[in-house]
Amino acid sequence: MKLLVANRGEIAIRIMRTCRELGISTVAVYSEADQNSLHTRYADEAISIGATKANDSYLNINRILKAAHDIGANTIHPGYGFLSENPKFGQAVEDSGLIFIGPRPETMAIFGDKLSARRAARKAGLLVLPGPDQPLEDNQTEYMINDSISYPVLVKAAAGGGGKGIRLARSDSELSEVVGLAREEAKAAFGDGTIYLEPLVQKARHIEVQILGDGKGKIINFGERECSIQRRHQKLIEEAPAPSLSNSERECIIEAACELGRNLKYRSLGTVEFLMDENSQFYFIEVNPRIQVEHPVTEMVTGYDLVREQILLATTGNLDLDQSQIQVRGAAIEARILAEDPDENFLPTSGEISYLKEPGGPGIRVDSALYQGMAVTADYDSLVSKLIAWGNHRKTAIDRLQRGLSEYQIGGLKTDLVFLNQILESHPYQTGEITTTFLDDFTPENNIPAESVTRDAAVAAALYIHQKRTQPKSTTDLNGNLWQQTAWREQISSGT
Amino acid sequence: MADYRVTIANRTYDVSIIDDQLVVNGDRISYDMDSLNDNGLHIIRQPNKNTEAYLEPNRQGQYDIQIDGNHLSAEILSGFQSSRKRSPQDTGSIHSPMPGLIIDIMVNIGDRVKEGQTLLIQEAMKMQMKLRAPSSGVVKFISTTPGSQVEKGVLLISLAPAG
Repeated sequence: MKLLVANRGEIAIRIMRTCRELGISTVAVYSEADQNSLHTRYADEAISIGATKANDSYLNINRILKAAHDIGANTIHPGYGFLSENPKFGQAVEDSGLIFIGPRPETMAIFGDKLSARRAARKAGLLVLPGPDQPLEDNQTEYMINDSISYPVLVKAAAGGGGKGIRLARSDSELSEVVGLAREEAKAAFGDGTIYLEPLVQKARHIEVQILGDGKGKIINFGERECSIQRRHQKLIEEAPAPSLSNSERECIIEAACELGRNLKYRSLGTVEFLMDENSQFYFIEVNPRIQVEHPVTEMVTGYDLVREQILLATTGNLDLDQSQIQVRGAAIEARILAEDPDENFLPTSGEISYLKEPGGPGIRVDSALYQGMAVTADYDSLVSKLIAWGNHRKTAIDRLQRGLSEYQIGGLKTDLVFLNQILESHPYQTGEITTTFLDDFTPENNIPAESVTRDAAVAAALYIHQKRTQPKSTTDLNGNLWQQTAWREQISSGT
Repeated sequence: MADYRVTIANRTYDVSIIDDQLVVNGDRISYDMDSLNDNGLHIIRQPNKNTEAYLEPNRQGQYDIQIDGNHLSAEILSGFQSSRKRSPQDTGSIHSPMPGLIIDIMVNIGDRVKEGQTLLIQEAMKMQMKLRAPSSGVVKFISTTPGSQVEKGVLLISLAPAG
């Protein structure tokens, strides 16, 4: 068996790690910009699929299929993002006789269109956010705002995902202003300008359920995650289990997700996403029919390797797991390390990684694509690494994640490391009072470091410059090393 | 001997290095630093304490320091006393504090300027800012022109010591 990962970055490495454990040989695909990337080195084989622009490489179905055939891969894992939710890709992979690790193309098509996803969820008996299941036309805004939906509303792309192309409108005039923009954004990001309306849920929590289905109606779940800490509708910190759910609420939300899965005879891994309002009423929002960025928190609390289960299911067609085997133990939290500047409204940053030291120790997991010397560019997603911490209680997990973040040293690139730690440090996060608008009201405490720290840093900076100016280090360092090496060699030879 | 004025988190430290002696804001301290690799990783040894610090120059002409989980940036002004190491750039240079438009430049190359004298005016977000000389000296070069749009941290004017 040979598995091609149609992706890059940390998730490509993540998938290949499981393959190595299973004895499955792996194939990396890479664009021009990624010719030195970590995933190409981790894979048993690597094959170039085109130019840096994603349309010419990671989003190009024909090139990926050709690569698979040329190198003799029989299975394709799409990861997340790129082609992972594209039903045409799944279909093309299966049509060419290869195994696609994901849902059936028909299922992907249902969830690829958020409006048909709403209809499918309603049909399965789930409570869906109010609002029309029809697309919004430019001159129809008055008709759309009626008894079923009122301001404020979100204008969303029907083909959307990952929080992209979402706009807020609080009045008729704002709505008519943003409709055109939202449509243009949707067209640019997803190649489809269809948009629709959804009410904005105030003080909402984002809760999602991880399911795995055998495609014949058997669904098991790996519990839920809470991903309420978001910037621009994109997740930043995720955790399992959701800290605020009562046992009965948890049972309800998990049962709803499984019911949808059973109703569609869902195959492979999937995540059913809900918003929960302040009255603990939860509404279906969408399904992500693929592995998710935040899957490690579920792996940490259940002890299961989700990618392993996903691959075994796709290759054997059988789901041997039983629900009773899956138990949630402790708590896990993931922080996304991004090449973004929180001080500049999360604008993407770039740079060459001049120094890298990853955290370790008890309960810490690092899923990363970083290496020293790597040029981080704005060509692809800004996610460069994920830090996950497990603890037997939520508090322990927070403490560990904070420790890990403070151990993490990334030189040459501005990231959100410090900002993440400030969120974890804050009182509302520590007490679990988190909603999707958490970051709108969040101002990091002006935590000026201790005087002893700035003093040490100041002396270090002065000495650094002083040493640079007064000691041309080429001679001293080299001589030192040479002398040490010579002394060492002499010791070795005199001993023998 | 060398003197450095280091500003971190709005705190200012005057550091003097005299042979193997270190004096910080008037206090003599025991402090020893070695580079652990060529990539900015250093070890700082003090009595009863070893600290790891990562240092690198950033694009704003400052230095980024990662120490004890803190990410700091340091601005360093230096004034060499030793004639052998005398370097004209050490007297002062003016960088753009923010992205914006250069409205006016009030000096020419070769002009003698006094500390605090306005050298140029930059406009950013509809706000005009006077950029002043950090020390007295002679305008050595001017690397911008009125009407230029500049990024944050760009060198605008460099001063050489007077005399």
